[in-house]
Amino acid sequence: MEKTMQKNETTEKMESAPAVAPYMDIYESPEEIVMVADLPGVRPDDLELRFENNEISIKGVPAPVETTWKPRFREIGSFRYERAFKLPSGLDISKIKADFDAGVLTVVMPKSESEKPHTIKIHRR
Amino acid sequence: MFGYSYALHDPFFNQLRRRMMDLFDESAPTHLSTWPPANLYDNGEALVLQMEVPGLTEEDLNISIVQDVLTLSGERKNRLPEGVHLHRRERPVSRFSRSFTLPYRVNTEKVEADLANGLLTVMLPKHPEEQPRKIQIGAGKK
Repeated sequence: MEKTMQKNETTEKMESAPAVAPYMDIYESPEEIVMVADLPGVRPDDLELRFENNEISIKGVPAPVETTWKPRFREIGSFRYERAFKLPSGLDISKIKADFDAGVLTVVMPKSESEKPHTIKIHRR
Repeated sequence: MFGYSYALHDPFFNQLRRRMMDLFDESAPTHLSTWPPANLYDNGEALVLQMEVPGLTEEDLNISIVQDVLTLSGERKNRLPEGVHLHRRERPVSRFSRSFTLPYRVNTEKVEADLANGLLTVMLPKHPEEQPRKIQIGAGKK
């Protein structure tokens, strides 16, 4: 189960780092639910997105810095990103689209046809 | 001057200060003097400043250096589509401006900045006068 992400030495080391929740925006339209997560410093290969048992989970490991760099001050700690949400029913899991650009993950989850609002045409006689 | 740089060098103090700001500032998204978060490194030849700016492009960012003060400013526009129902809004949105007092003089002509995966890395080569120099010891006159 955990083997889906290709591991190298650095990511394995980083996986022992404490987990923090990425900042997220979540919004919903009649057609879809959209999740946006800030994952700065994470390379696309070090990001894992999973759907399982009506749950979406995001895991990302920021790339390590050069070991020869001596820190003068640090606000960005050594950590990994981790967050999971229970999903409501009525989403079309097969049509989920995810995009990861400039450290921002966007997941678009369309609602099933039956969940979308329908307008019913009323015929005049 | 010394007191200020001490605070910058102390990660605990910084964490604490950020937490305090969060506590007192209800309108956190519009008050971002501590955004973006940064790390400063020294690799021997250069200072390396890294800042987390997810979602921003080169056009959204301005970097200026005046003497030993580097300022990063810009705007993070994060508009939502109209008419959506909002469940969570945590990602900071604002104009921002953050200044750092550099511990060394840098060669401003040779500064390079790189933006990748939402991380801005600014390489600031030290000014030639800050580089270690070998001093020739003259032979004493007899």
